[in-house]
Amino acid sequence: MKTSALSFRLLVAAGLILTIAFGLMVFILEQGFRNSAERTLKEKLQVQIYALLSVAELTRKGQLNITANLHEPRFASPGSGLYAFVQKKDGILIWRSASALGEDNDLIAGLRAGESVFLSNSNQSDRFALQYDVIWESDTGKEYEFVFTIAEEAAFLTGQVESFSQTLRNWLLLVGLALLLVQFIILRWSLTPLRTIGKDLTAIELGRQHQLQGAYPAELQALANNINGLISSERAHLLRYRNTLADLAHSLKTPLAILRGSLENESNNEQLKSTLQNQISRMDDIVEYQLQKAAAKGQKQITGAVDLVPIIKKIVASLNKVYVEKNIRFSVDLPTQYPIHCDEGDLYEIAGNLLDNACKWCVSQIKFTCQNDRKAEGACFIVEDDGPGIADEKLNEILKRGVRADQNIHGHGIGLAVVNELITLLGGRLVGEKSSTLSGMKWLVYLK
Amino acid sequence: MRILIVEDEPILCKQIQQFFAEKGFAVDIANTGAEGLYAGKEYPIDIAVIDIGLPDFSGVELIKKLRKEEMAYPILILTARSRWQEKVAGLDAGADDYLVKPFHYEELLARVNALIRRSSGNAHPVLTFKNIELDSVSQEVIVDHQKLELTAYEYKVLEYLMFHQGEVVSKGTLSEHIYDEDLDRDSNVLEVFIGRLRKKLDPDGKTNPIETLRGRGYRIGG
Repeated sequence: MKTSALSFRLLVAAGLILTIAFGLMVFILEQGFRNSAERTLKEKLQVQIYALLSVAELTRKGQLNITANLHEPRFASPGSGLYAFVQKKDGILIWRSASALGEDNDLIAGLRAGESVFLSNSNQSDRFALQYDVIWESDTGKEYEFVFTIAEEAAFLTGQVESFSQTLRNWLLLVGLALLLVQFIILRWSLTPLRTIGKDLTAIELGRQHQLQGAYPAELQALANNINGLISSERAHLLRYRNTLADLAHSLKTPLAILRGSLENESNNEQLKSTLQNQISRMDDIVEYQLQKAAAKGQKQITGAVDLVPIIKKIVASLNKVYVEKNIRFSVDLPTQYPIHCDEGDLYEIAGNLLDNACKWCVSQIKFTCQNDRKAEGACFIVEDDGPGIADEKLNEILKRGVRADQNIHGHGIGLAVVNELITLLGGRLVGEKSSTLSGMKWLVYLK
Repeated sequence: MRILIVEDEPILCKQIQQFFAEKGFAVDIANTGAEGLYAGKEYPIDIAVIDIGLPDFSGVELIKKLRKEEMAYPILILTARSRWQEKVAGLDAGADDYLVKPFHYEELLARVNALIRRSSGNAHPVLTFKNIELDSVSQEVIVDHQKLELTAYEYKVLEYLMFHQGEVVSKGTLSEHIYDEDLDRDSNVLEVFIGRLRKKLDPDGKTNPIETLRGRGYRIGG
């Protein structure tokens, strides 16, 4: 059931819709057929009434005689199911057809002269009947009122309706089953690419292949591309975690060796304390750097872009608090929105580190701008300060892992090295140059 | 100055407590968010140092709750997590500064002193009144260009009064902010400290820097 859940659900839904639709169709068609049959019967009974009237003759004494035989042979045959009655207004029977021998006919109360009424078999009656109230004027000018009735057994029409219903239901059932079968075949055919993706994913899980390689329909190609991106990114993450762990372990060994050596060989307490402090600081920096590197997602956001604007606003508000005594003048030029395809935490890390560095180094001014022309290299934001800047020969060194430009300002090199690695992981570029407007450092971040 | 330390790691908490006690602070400690919230609301705290990772609820939540209760004293976040998103979340919640673990105690002290100065409206670490200069970083007091030797409690009393120049500070408030626990209000210990301070600051009785306002308290700078 797990693998066919989607097709099963679609099939059940289609079956349910078909059942409801066909059920309604049967009800509507049956009602239509019954109404049409009753209308036809009423017309037929009307014709018979006129035929009966045409052979009726009133005597001078006011008696009504049926002078000729009716054309319909069923009137002549007892128990044929088609009956004719002529009664006085008070219900006294004057004449009935040979077929109506032994049959009674009740008149409808309140029927007025010239009116006819059709009685269906809906009210416990087993007949359909048409009663027609007629006033007949004799030669002497006297008027006599009679009620002509033509009745037909309901069984005949009911049988016709039932036969129609049965045929209709049989056909609809057949059509429904055929439609379900077609639906099932279409579903199987349509869902084949999904099954292929499932098989490919299983192969990836088992390590038989590294990516989704099949030829998928256009609707699924984007999904396959995203899954491939995710797999690649997770693989890169895993590799980065492994490298980070190895780097961390290896880089801690040197200060540990120094510490061990100092403990075993150093007799001067002051010297030992100084060595301990230096090596602890060094280990702290190593852990900090590797932690930041490991925490970085370094992948493009699959679900959508992250808006840089609220992030910068929050970081600037935070830095204003932290560096309140420095009285820094932030010149922040932001558009209403600046979406970038990258993890929100990574964006905080890039912008936070660059702005924090600018705060540490600036005299009193920092400028933040976003480049509006994004055609060439995607998104680009710029952080500038009025600090001393960094000499060209030192710039490349700072952007290497963990190298610090100034040992007096904690974490300077680490922050920039992490920013540089993150931007590289995101396929972007970090450029450092002298700011022409503020004369200090200018960092340009390009993110595709 | 009365400082609240909210830290769940007992050894680190003890170390910070000892460090600030040695530096002349009255120290209250809390090991959970709930304890921190109680102490932060009930005690006359001058500054709080709050760890982000607390066992019951996060330090960020604690800061939000304290700010909601209109506690306006400065708060410094201690965090082992150095990502900017987390720092911004803490500062956005109402903290005033952050320090990433492991930290240098001198840096912690400098940050705490800077926050206290900022909260009392003094940007510069050296507070002055007439011929008295008090350096809140080196904790040195200079009168007429001569360094003055003060005991820890004498320094605490003078520092509190210097930070609140122009304000009348009652004995109760003063004792609350320089001692971990309230002194007996009948005790004359504070009066003894004030008396000694006066003699050291103004041995000739010329400048009279600390005023006594009968029944109300003490004041530097009227």
